Amino acid sequence: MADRFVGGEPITLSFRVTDGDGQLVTDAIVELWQTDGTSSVFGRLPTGEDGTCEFETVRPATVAGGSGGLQAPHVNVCLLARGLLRHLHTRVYFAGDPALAQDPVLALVPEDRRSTLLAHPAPERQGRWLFDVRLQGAKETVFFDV
Amino acid sequence: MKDRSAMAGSQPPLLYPPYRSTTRWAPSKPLIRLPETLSELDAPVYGWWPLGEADNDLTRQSSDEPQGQRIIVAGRVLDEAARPVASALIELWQANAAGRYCHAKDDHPAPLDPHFAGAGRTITDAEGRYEFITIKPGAYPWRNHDNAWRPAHIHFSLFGSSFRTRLVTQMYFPDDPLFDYDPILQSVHDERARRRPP
Ligand SMILES: [Fe+2]
Repeated sequence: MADRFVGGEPITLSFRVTDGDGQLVTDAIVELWQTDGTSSVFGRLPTGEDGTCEFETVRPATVAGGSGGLQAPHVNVCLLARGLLRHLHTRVYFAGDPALAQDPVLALVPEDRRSTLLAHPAPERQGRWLFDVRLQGAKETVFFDV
Repeated sequence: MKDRSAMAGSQPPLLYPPYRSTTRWAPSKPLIRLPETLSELDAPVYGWWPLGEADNDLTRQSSDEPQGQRIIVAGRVLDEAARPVASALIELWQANAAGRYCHAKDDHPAPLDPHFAGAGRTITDAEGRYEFITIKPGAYPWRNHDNAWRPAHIHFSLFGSSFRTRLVTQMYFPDDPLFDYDPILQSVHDERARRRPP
């Protein structure tokens, strides 16, 4: 549902949201903010009964990283839900991307938590990526104060 | 649309145990602060979805008028220096006069109003002003604690110029006797912030 993109490789980005008990969060709103290499793209979807929602979008390009470097391709995510007093910000990176090692934001994240920010390719279909949002627990997703 | 780090006490904490779901939903680890230089991404250059003519008049979105007390909800969007924020997208959603949302997940047995969808949106003008026409929503029960009723409220969502200025909040009506029993309102610790006049 991320509309109006211009360039970039088309991908399907699938989110699954779970709470501290591992229960599916079935009425969250996932907002996606990214670049398609040319302009900003925005999309928004509710999670369904299975705790998931799926965006048709493009794989984002690298963007400037502040002090001359580059940020690895990533999607900014805003999560809203009944039961959350504030919305949460996180980022989706793509597993296996060679630019991850130089990313200045991942560098701010403790090493043992970086994997929570990675989307992984779905085994059954090329171009489909899976991203788990865990609100709490051992593999709690990293959230940012932007 | 202030940065929340500059507003200690006037923004709710993520974890507020009287609001029960936050104990399972609030992240337990501290947020990681992103430097501004790494979190700039502008709002879409093509703008938002085009607005319809009745988007800011929730009483004119159906073939007939909704039930309830018709009201105007108006105000301004200001930044941290009290400067008007122009061209901000504001969305609102609310229950109908009987306290029922037009939403599949709302199982409160109050009647749905076939002429009230309860959602609107508008864009602020050059002085940051906005205006909606709607009906006053009813209070509704929820399962947070015994005899829990939410005070009448309208949900607001604001988009500024980037995702850093995203804001989601609720608007209440003056002097509601339910205020003291509402953990969502009480989660804002600063009494002045709760009562901040427009
Ligand atoms: Fe509500």
